[in-house]
Amino acid sequence: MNIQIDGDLKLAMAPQPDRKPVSHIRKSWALARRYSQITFGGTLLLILVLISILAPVLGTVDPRAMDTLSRLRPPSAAHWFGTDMLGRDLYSRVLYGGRNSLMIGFSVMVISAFIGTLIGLISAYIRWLDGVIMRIMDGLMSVPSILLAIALMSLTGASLTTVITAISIIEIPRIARLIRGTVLSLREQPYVEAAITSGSGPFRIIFRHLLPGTVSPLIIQSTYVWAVAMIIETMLSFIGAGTPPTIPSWGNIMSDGRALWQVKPYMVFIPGVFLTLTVLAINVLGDGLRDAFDPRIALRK
Amino acid sequence: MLRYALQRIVMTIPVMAVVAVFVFGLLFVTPGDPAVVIAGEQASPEEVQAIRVAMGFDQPFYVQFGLWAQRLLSGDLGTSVFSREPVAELIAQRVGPTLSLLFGGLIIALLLSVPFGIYAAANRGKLFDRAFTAVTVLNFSIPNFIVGYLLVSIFALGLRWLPVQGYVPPDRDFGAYLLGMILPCLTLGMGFASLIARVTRASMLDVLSQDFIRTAKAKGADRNRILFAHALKNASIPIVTIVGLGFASLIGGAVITESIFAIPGLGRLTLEAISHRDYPVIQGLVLVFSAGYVLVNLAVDLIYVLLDPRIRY
Repeated sequence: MNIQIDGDLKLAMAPQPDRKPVSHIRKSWALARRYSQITFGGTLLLILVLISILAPVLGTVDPRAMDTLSRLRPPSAAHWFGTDMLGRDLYSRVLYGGRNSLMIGFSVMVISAFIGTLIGLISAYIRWLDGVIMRIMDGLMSVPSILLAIALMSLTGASLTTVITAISIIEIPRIARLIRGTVLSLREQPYVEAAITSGSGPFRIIFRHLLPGTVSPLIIQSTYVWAVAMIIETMLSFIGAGTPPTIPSWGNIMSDGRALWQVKPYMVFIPGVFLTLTVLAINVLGDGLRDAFDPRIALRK
Repeated sequence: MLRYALQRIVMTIPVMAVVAVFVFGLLFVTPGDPAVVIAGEQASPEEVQAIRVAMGFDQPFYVQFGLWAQRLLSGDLGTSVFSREPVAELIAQRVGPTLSLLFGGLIIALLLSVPFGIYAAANRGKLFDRAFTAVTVLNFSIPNFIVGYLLVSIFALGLRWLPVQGYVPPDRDFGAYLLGMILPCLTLGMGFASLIARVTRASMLDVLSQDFIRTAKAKGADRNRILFAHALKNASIPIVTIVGLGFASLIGGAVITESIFAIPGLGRLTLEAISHRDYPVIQGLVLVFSAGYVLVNLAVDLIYVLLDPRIRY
């Protein structure tokens, strides 16, 4: 006993190593390095979103203004990315197009996350509806997404709303399945069973105990929905079944450049690079979030 | 095995039924008169009425659906509004190039993805693995038609090794057919390869951390034997699953790829049908493609049993 105290005392008396107070900057830097994917993806995405939001003050002109005298100009000081066949400034079109492309992807993400969560919750909670709902979701998921969107677009005509609706309908079943699976496994957890036994009502159980558990898988899946939605929008616009041609979007700009791409490849590749960077940023961010949230992966590290 | 196979086959029926109801019902939930939608806005009232009677829109919904489903079950997909030809025939004429493209794309995707995925998993955290992860994420983020244009710029316009676009039927000139399919199949396969490769790597890492692998190492099994005989076999279920699930995106990619390379397949037929507002053809195509997807996933479920005899439902 004595020895023990002695040892403890000695330890306490021993000169403490010099501990410098850790600055906030250093702490943040360490955190940023630990979650390097989130830092990289998040920063890149933030930059691209800022560029789109700040498009009016970044030296752009009206993206729809035609100038027949300067058509198909290569990139120059006056037109940084050149002009298209109607003499519209491509730099302005790409920046303003980014607004629409990002907005479409973001809207699809929010809408499908909301409706998908609702359907998933209903399916997991009301057992007799589960079979019916999931067969409908299976059916929807077995239609290849581009084709489903094409069929929807060909019937409703092109507008921003129909593009967003069509892509959301594609993504809703994926979210619904995820939420249903998560909620079903959460329901079996002892703490939920305890809540049920102690007489909590269904609303309290759903909002207090089940929904919080779905947040991290939902956020991760939603980032991918955002990325996928932007790619689908681009593909639809590219084949002429997407965003109306009067509204600039990255897909539309590439679609415009399509006829001339062998002579003016930059008309396709510049918006292509912007789109790729955005989707890349979102995907890396999603991967980072998945790794950060998933305790299994964290353990392996 | 037979019982399981039969069960799985029966399970595809409700899924296809939902697809059929959905495809048919779409025309009715969209705002406006379906006859006007099909005829286009410039059509005269007489033309609209002709389409309305021809398509049976003057009858109640359930009667129409019943008639349509009855014809569908006997293999009749309806008649094209534009060319007046049976939809089933139009699809049969165009299915060849699309099947070549899907098959070629799938082979290229598997050849590119599985070996690299295994190698990356075996060298976890090393330079190759890091490069692999970066390349797959980047490739995954590039829309498939950009990849197509890049490949054409390099191999057709730059090096002049391969044709820029076009399709030669295999019975006319097999060599030209193969040459012409290389770039389209690469375009289609590359994006899919990233997805399979990522799953291969993750699945292999999962298996490689298990006890039986350690045992195999301890008893001195050869590294390649461990990777291919022990690990890959156990890691193959998620790989086969993602091939099945990803087949939908492969079909979507085929539509775009055909349009870049001017291949006269089902994708082109889809785009023509859109521009003519030929709804019966679009309906038929969506049904056929969905059936293809469902069949591929049926095959995947049957392959599970071959890969892992423990699976029994």
